[in-house]
Amino acid sequence: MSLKVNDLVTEFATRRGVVEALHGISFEVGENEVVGIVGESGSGKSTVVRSVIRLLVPPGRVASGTVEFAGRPLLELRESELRAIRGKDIGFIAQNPFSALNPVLRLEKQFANIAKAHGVKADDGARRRAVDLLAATGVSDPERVIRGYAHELSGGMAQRVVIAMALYLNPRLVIADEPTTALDLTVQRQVLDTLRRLTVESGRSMLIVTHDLGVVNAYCQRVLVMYKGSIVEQGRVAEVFTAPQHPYTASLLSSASPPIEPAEAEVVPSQPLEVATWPSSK
Amino acid sequence: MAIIEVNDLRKTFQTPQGRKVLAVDGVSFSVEAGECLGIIGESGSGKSTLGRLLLRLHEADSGSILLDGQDIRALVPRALRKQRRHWQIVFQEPFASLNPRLSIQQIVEEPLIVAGTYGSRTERRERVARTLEEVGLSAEFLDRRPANLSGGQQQRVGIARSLVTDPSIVVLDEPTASLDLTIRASILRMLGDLQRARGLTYLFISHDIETVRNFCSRVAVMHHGRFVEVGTARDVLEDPQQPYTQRLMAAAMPPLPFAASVGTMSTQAGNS
Ligand SMILES: Nc1ncnc2c1ncn2[C@@H]1O[C@H](COP(=O)(O)OP(=O)(O)OP(=O)(O)O)[C@@H](O)[C@H]1O
Ligand SMILES: Nc1ncnc2c1ncn2[C@@H]1O[C@H](COP(=O)(O)OP(=O)(O)OP(=O)(O)O)[C@@H](O)[C@H]1O
Ligand SMILES: [Mg+2]
Ligand SMILES: [Mg+2]
Repeated sequence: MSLKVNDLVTEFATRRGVVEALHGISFEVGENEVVGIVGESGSGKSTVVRSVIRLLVPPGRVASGTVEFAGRPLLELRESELRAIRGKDIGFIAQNPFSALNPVLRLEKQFANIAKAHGVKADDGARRRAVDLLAATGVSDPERVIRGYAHELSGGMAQRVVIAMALYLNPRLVIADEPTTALDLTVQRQVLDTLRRLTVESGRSMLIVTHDLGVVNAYCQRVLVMYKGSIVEQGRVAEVFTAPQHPYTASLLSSASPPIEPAEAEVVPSQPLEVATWPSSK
Repeated sequence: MAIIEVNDLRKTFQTPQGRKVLAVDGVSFSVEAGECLGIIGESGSGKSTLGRLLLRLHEADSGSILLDGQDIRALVPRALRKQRRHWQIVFQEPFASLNPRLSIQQIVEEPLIVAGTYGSRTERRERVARTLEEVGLSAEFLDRRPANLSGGQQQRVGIARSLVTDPSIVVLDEPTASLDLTIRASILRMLGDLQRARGLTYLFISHDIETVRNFCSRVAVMHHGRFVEVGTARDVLEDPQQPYTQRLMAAAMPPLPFAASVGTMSTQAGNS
């Protein structure tokens, strides 16, 4: 088992007192598995993933529950131990890409800093991998982009830079919070194919938050449906989507618009680009 | 009558390394009052830059922009500031566009204060609360900071801020990208109602072709800073002439499996 979350309760201290945001969340992400989280805006999806990797925005606080990653109790580790895991063993793609980027450092420097923070030498191979990852997520002219700054990026470019950073050190688990909201369908596919190839197809796993049921359907094996701070339904995607047990899931499915009919054009399959494996695949 | 008239607009960015990026390359178009023009195009094609140029949040290199018949590029800062309330924008990056130090109340109220024409503090407060309610956010959010909101809630604050002054033109840059389907539908319904009731004009930037098809009467397709195809939503999206447009639409996901029991729910809710 890659990730095991048990009875997680998270609360926010507000002026009106303590508000419980998660009411006892339990789920698992297995090896080689992609698990999706869907649910209404404000239902607690980001709070779940931020609780798991201990990046809650204050005044958020995990009140009880356990999180086990590769056999280690994440909620009990020291902050320094956790920092060693985040970015290396767990790659995190935040919902808001620009908040994850440093405005005053060139992107290449930011990639190098990730490596250094985990005791990996930022050599030529390191740079190659960063450029390859950008190319594999469909960023055109990555050599040029990586020499620039965050403010020069369009919304969709920033999103892909953050994805490349999360994949950079070959994490065992990728946690992605709405990773493709700024991407058109073609690029979205390419990015998700790349994520899949570098995680599940390489013996790793992924937890992905999305409001796009099509993405869940095409890329996830299992899905968790959240509603008002609880998981109201979880199971295999095909089962949940054909026979939803909870009214919220049903309403979600019924509001999904019919699929777009592909225009009569050649569907160019996204080319799997070579990504330098560096420092080394585990 | 055209409420937006843009002619041969250009914008080049100069990076610190001295590199030049031609982000908008000679774009011309007009939008009738009460109309919605959708803008689609691949990532980096210049859509957000165009939206910002239109409201002079970037200075164009050349070209002309008439909004409500006024040459916006010629307005002095003070006049521009006064007109702002008629021309608003919802930014693509919800969080980055909200001042982290201000409360939601202060953020949504700010355009009213800038406009200077919206009466007393109580009147403004009421108006802010009402606008937030229209985007589905209750009064409990008024005192919170942006960081204490979910992504979709932040996005709706941005929408409320753009509508609070009763504008005539709104640039919507991926306004529903962070919203789940149900809330997305209700926001689009609200925007559509406003458009009909007040004759609002929208520039609707989105990569969500399905939404553009339903929401916009006309569509422009952007590629490398230019419009490569403009026409009615039906013509452009049903029968795209440009290979580029066809490509943009060709990657639809496989259809969802049909939900057999929708509408006849059992009540076995709870954690499984
Ligand atoms: N730091 C915080 N302080 C107080 N309340 C918070 C904080 N962060 C989130 N919340 C509230 O907790 C609830 C869950 O937020 P969360 O960000 O997890 O939602 P979400 O499911 O990710 O929604 P979205 O799809 O809109 O991103 C929301 O109602 C939000 O307003
Ligand atoms: N301040 C800037 N400095 C340098 N280059 C910039 C700047 N802002 C935008 N660009 C560049 O201009 C081009 C157009 O960017 P823009 O943000 O308008 O794209 P977009 O169509 O909105 O893309 P997306 O769908 O990803 O949001 C991109 O190549 C981008 O890198
Ligand atoms: Mg979220
Ligand atoms: Mg943009």
